[in-house]
Amino acid sequence: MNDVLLEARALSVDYVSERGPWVPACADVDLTVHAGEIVGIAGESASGKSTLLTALTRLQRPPAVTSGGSVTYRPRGGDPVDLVSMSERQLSRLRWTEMSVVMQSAMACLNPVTTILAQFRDVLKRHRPGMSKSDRVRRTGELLEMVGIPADRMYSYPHQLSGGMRQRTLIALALACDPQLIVMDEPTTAVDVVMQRQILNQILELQGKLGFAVLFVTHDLSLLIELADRIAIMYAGRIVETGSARQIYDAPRHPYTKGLRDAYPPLSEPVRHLPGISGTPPDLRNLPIGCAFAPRCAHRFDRCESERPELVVRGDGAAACHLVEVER
Amino acid sequence: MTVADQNPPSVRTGSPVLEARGVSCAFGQRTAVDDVSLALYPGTITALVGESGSGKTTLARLFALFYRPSAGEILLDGKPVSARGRKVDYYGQVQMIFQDPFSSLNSLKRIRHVLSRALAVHGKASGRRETDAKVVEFLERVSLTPGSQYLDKYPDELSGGQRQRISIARSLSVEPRVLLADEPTSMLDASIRVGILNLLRKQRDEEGLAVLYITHDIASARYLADEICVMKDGRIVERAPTEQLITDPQHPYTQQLLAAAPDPSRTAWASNPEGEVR
Repeated sequence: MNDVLLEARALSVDYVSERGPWVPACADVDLTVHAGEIVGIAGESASGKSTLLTALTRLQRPPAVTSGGSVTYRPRGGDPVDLVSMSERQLSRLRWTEMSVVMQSAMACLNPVTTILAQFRDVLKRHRPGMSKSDRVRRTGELLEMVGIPADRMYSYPHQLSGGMRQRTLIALALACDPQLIVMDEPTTAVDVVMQRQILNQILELQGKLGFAVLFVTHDLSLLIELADRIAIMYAGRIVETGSARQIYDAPRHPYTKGLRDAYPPLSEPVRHLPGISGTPPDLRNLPIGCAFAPRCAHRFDRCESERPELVVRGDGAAACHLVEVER
Repeated sequence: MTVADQNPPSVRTGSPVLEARGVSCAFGQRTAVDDVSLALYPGTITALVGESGSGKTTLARLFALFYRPSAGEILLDGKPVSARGRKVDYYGQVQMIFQDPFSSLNSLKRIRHVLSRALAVHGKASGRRETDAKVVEFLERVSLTPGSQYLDKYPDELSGGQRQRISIARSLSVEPRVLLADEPTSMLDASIRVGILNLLRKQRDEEGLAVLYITHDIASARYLADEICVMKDGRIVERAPTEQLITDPQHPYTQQLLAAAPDPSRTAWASNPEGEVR
């Protein structure tokens, strides 16, 4: 296994409020990303996956506040740093050159009133100060071509590009300063399935060529299983299972993971009745004392309602379920 | 003549309840639906699969009489639907479920009101006691049990999946023969989605409803539908009984859709059962 690039330990994020209790959107999250690895985080609405992502990248805004834990990042040829305690100034040296972000809505991320070239220029000027003007133009063309967009589209404005092109432009922009880690938040949710497939193939191809690591957040577990090396499943603000993509698909340990896997009708295997998961996710302001999934779980027993299961490591995966402990 | 006009699939029984015959609809210069014929049969789920801009929602809205077709006609029980006819009679037969359960329910009204209003408009119940009993009955039919617990709730107090169940219950309470479901699960979480699909299937099986299931997710169409129509650029480019369309797609666009859809069982290790899980 490659070196550890990013390591979150016991990371907790609360949404603070003047009235009423704080809402624990992320609790005790441990997550490791190795160099050159694709790690997926899957979870449903309000599972805390986007909160986790903005906390890891220090892009969160109040009322979200990191209330505990650490995020260790190892820059190229440097000593590990803690992202949680870094100043904005120190952080800005890591942004784009060490880690970059691709968000869901390209139209909301790109500036509508300047050309694509101008937006690449902003990034390159700031983080590649030695670069000449003509080199910046050349680099922009090269990056666009890398994601399958003709270089002359750099003179276009965002609205002149299709939705798929805009999303790929964001990926090219994220690659501009050769980062070690690209964090992607549902980068293909807003595009059609054919374009989604093209974008995912492109990410895989570029990742193979350039060797960056990807932290990919999505609600779509079926997509993640095809894409990721390792997957973490989130439920009610906690990671409830981690494992290789294959493990999550073939032998999920947590009943929620299993339910989620079976929530996607297959395309090539025979159709069978899928039960779905009954009930609804819990209210984060009012979590049960025991396992947050217990009220929806078909396998629950007394202990599940009184004691929250810890994440137990088994092989190269881990699961937070009393059943797994019983097995052992 | 397009592929879609030939060879009616064998899954159909009886005569169609609702039918579009050669309908077109344009918005300014842009033709959203172009000469489409599609019939819905009792006890049959027809899926309409396509991407954004393919015209599938426009077609559903033509069926729902939200737009007037620029050519062609909509027929209910073989009779053309007159633009001057009473809409309420039509909606007693044909009901629509919308994509967004957050905007399709009035957030200022309790669930009791949302459902009893539909019952009153269509003359299905009168008097508070009878109405409440019916409301509870339909809430329980969509697995919101015990139904009485939901009567005094506001939509805001419910989850997305529960709201979509309410909007399905509202449609069912009219006792229609056709349900037009426009992406009824796309805004819901995966763990909730299958439950809604199973609920639609139950209405087909138990009430013999004709269902038009509109989706961009071809895997869910396969799970639910008896036949699948693939729509592209305002036209139906392929139509076949579900398994035939999935296993032997004819149109290049259908093939492209199938190849692009996420399918974990196609990954290298999934198709190699000998490999051991670490």
